Amino acid sequence: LVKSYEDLREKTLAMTGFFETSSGYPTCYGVTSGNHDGAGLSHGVLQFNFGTGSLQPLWSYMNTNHNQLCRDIFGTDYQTWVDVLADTTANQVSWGDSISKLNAHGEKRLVQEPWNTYFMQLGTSQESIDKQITYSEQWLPNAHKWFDTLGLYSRRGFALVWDISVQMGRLFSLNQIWADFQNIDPTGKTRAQIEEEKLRIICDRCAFDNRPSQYSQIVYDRKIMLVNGTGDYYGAAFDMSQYDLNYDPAFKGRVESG
Amino acid sequence: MTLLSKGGLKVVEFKDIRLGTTPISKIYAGTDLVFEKAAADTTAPITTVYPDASKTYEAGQRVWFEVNEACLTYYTLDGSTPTTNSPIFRDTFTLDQTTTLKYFSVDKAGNKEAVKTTVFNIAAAQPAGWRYFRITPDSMNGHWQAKEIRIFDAGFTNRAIAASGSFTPAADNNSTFGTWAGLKDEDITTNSVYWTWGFPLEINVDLGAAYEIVQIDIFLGTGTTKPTTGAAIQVSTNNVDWVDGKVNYTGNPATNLQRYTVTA
Repeated sequence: LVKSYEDLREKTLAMTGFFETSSGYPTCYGVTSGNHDGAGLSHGVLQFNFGTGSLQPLWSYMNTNHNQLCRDIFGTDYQTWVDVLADTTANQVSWGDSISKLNAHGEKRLVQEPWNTYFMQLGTSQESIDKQITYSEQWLPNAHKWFDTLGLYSRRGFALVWDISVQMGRLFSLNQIWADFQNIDPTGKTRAQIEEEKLRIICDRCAFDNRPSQYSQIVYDRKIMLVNGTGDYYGAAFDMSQYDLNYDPAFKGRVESG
Repeated sequence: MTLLSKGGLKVVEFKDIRLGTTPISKIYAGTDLVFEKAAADTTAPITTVYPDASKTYEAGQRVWFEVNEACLTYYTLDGSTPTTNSPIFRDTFTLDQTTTLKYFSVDKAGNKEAVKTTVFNIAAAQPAGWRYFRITPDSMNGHWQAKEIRIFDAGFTNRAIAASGSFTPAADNNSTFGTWAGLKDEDITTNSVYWTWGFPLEINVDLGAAYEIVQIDIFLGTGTTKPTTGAAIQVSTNNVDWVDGKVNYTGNPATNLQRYTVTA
């Protein structure tokens, strides 16, 4: 009944990859967006970027450990790419901006050629995919912590806290969420129905927490889409069923303490 | 033990299984682990109040609690010791006056945090008096260096005035002007600030809440000609509606001191 942990991780990463890239497998691992948000370039399944310093380790790893692959992909532009990797963050962001180009909405979401093709080839190489999956582990501890402390049980519940961990990195309202949980009336409800009710509370509390943000509604729309199972994400159709993240138990043989 | 029906399958759900009085930690079905009792949580939650209570805020400040695990946070605002019968924190609340918060959290395992106390300082309400002023010299010859500008509040005490402001001059290539940021103390010292006839210097200052300007002293440095008259002072309570100030000018060219005493 309970699928493997590896399956859960793969599916949740693919799901979040959709939100981050609007692309399916394996394209989501190579998608690169331009400097529309001040981060210079954002690349891969979780949009690792220059601005936060998350992209440099991935590309440096590829250059160090799969150097010939990188040379083959970048060709005569290889040295330019290597020089950028050795530069300061500010200059890396600036370089990312210089190869960005406007989309139809006037936003620098696109990347000029040939760089866009280079990055797609690099990101969708199996070597890069493997490393991106490994890098995604940094968001697992928070997801596990929140899943456990909030007493969730389902694959969908894990998918939600995982996506919160990746997108926001914070869930400050645990006391308010827990207080809201106390108001749930379990009478006549299945375990899945109660879980869904909890997830809706989490969506609301994580998006509209006590630290107002201009992105609150955007966060909420993404999270509630995950609970609803379907929706439209910037023009791309989201369908949770393809990720198999339903209300089955997420982990084998685990129960709450006490 | 619960028996559920799920998609045509019968699902047995275990919770707190015991053999007699002995708790069971693991159950295997063949080699598959189907039940494992989680380790007991014996650590109390940690509650933090936001925003930073070391600062002073204005009335209406939003306050909330954050925690490190799922729990209920109980609190009081009247200085009394909270209990589990006290209000549960559900949404942010506002403080209009200095308040002593007492609070603690209890997690789902029953671990209780020790009661914490935080005093939130709320500044007195903003006075109706002038908090903004600007000076425009009406007649000056030559370049004059304003060596020092002092602003006094009603108390004439040496307490800090959290003022901010800027010099907004007309074009004057001989002048360099700075921006006041994070002014402290009642003595506001500036350097290389020049007044020039025909290029009036406008000084805009917001003293923040709780201060009312009563006197402004301006010390002038060397110059070729003494100022011939005083300056026009305008004051405002809101930085929008400016009115001419009621000013007594007691300039003293001998000491290069111009003093404008503002009366409410």
